[in-house]
Amino acid sequence: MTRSGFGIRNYLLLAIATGVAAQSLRQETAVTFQGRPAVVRSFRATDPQLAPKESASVCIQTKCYSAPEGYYADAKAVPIQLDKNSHALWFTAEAVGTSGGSIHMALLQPDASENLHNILLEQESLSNLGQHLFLDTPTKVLVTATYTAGLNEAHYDSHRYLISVYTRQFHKDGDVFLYALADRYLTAKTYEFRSNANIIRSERAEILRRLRQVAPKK
Amino acid sequence: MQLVLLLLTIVNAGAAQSPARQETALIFQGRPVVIYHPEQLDEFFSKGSASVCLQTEPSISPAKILVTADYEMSLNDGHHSAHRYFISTYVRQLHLDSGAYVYALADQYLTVKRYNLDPGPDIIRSERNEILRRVRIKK
Repeated sequence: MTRSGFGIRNYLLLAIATGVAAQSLRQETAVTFQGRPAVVRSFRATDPQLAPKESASVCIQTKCYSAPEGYYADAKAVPIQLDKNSHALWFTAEAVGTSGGSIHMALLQPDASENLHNILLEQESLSNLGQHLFLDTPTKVLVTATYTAGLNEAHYDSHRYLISVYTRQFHKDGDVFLYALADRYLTAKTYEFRSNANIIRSERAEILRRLRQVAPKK
Repeated sequence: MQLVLLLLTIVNAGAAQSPARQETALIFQGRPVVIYHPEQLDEFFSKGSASVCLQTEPSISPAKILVTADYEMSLNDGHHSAHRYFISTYVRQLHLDSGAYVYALADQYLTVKRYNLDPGPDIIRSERNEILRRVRIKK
């Protein structure tokens, strides 16, 4: 398997219940990124009163990226082909709260020294009731949808969603790129909370229409 | 008729472990403008270089509508360069639980156009047509 090859498949799930600390269980998942094995670690509390102290992480050989403190659960890493030539590892980990969780998001790329860098400029978290999707455009566009609790709306009512669109943007000082906020708007339509509707797919035409307005004229 | 921003510092007397906190209030004609989910405005006010105004638009609400414009620091933007702005529109609505009228978020979007931070165009006035178009869609 070569590093440039992108025939990536998640090949193994190792659910290891090792006692890292008395109050947490470590779970490991293995994925392949650019031909190399990556290990995704998350933790589960054995005592509901005590959240694990460790953060979720993903490691490629000895190089690791760790989520911020408090984000320990349900970590996932998915290889993403950003365009013809560039790849990244989409990493998420959850902080579990009493009334819903929050998801840390990172788009990771190894640099020349193989250190994993988060190229998502905005360090924002997503509600675990929100959605995210990479739009299948020539260069991938990351979109998140976060519900807004409108006036007189109950938790399980229909809600409008704040759509945030992140695009690949090059830094003016070089050919380094990041994913940065390109657009944000509140949906006109409300979506039923429990319908499992794919909000981002439903909003795709509006997302792309607005993005065309923002894109620099050629 | 003037809209006044009031910065309140609240100290919890007798609770040494609770630090003082600051809250911002909007006062219009001597009365507080009650915002539903006021935390939505906290970050806005903390930046200190945003615009806020009340506008009359009978086609949307018999009460004035509240609009804020808050700059977005994009990649490659310098502090003094032109910025895009988050426009947030609040409309006065009846809160059914309390029976009181409050200002609730009706729309939010990022402007396509960039505006200078320094004295320049009135952003909210320039965006007026788009603000009203979007809020009307949602009515």
